[in-house]
Amino acid sequence: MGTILKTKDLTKKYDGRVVVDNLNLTIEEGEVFGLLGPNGAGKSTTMNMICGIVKPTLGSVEFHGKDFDKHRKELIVELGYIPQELAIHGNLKAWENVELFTSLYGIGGAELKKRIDESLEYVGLLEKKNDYAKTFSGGMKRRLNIACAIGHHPDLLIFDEPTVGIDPQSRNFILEKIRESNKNGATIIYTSHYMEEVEAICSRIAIMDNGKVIATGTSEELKKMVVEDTSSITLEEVFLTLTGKKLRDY
Amino acid sequence: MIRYLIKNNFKLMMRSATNILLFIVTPVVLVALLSSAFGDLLEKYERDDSIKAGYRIDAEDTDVRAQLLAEQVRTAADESDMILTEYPKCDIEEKIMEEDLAGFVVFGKDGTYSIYENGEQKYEAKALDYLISSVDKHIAQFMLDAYRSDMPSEASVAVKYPSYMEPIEASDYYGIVEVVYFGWCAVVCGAGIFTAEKKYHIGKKLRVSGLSELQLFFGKFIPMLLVVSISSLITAGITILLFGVHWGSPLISALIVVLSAAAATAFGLMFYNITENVVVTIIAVFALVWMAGFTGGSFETYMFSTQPQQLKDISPIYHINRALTELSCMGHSDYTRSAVIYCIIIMFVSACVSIMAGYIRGRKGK
Repeated sequence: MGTILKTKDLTKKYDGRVVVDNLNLTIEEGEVFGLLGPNGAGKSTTMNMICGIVKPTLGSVEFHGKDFDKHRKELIVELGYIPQELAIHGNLKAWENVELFTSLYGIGGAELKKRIDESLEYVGLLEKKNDYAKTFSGGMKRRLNIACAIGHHPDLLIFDEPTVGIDPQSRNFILEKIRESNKNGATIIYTSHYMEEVEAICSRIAIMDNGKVIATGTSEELKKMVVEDTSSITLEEVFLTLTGKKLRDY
Repeated sequence: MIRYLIKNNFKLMMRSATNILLFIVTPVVLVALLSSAFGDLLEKYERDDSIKAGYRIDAEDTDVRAQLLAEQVRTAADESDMILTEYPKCDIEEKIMEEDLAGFVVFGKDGTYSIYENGEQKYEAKALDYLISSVDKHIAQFMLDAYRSDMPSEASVAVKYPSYMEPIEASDYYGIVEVVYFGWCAVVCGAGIFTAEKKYHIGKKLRVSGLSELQLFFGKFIPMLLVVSISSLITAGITILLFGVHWGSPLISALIVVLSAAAATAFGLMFYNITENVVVTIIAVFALVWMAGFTGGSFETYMFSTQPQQLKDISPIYHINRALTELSCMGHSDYTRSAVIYCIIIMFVSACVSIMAGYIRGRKGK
């Protein structure tokens, strides 16, 4: 197992304000990497730079050992992005949504049809393939959002708060699917504000604040940074100890 | 594969009730209303008897420009079934009343002219004005061409006259111009997609897939053009069935309608790519299209419009309306070429600006 993604001195400034500050992250193949941070810590900007939506002010992203910006066309097919927002069209049927986003990676014809069914089956929506997305519940829309990002079989999946606003059953289903994808060989980058989720599925966690990574390690290692007896502390308490209790009004 | 993006964007637009209402129902209703409201005006234009007008030449015999204009106007009037009589010395107002003239032209020095209009025959007077200004414009163009090509001064002058406008029925006129006008509101059919892309961050997801600015542009441009063109052709079909609208040359007219829709679509997309704001885009595009339609004859017929000719010439809708209207009532139009060129230029420039705006925004990382 080697390194799948590496950020080198990744920096983003907006109007002189540093949002991400010399970020150096290394993500190994096959791991589930959790990225935590309070609002405005720079998580989303980091994700956007990794996905190539936002250009870094300084630094670079290395994906599969290659500069992502320079080899974007070649590398983009290996990346799947599940945004926090429900990036689906309500007036398209479930299969049409998956078709739209999967086809963008150069898949067409019979193969595309196969991938559409495969993706919908994976998220448990195959029976609803001909229903309009606008008729779906919040949990179903979240699952469809995932189906739209996995059809091209990426080996790095980026989940940006994929369980916001859904019932426990849907959340459990999504977390199970993330574990399953990981078992099938996909590397996962996962952000969430739900600490128990992160603790349950992530093999390694980084905590970001003010654009910088302030701590990295397994859940146990992070807890040990705060107290000796890790059984007496939760990840949320570690997070609050490291980032402070002050409200972040961004 | 951009074809699936085009296909699905097309489906999204075709499933929108707003689009059907705006591009099919509203123009059909407006054609019915406007052709009924302005029917009388165009009936006056569709007269049985010839227009009578008088003229006088105040310029010297040696004034070549004035003599040329007077001569060409006489010929054009003959061809246009207009009776133009010379009254060398007279009181103009008295003569107009006495002879029941629509108007009186005084040819002055260096090709200048004044038109006295009969208030009771204002439409006929407008037709006289239209005829003289058309001839004058052609002479000016001819002289400019002659000057540029160093033509010897003694060469004979051959002015190509525009054939005088044939009468047109109100249903034909409004049946044509409303299809064109609503086609120029093309940006509305993409509004649903623009909103969804922004609200649900679909645009962000499209960018993650590595689509180029060119692909993103065509991913919207082609389906929008298809929807507007299909809707316009359906509307044209309905107006033919309901009001018997004559389109003249169907192939050339369809080509102009589609090109007009393409220019309008690219123009709307350009605004959206610059502002990235659906509301601002729709307000700005609607305001500009309304102005172009107002001067171009979408509401008030361009033949009787009091707008200055220069203002009309700026409006692409005027060229398109005039080309299509003349194709309908005369079978040919000198404006076909300018309408096509105008549309192609707008489409090309708008597409380039639109793609560049997206590219610059991408480079800035916004």
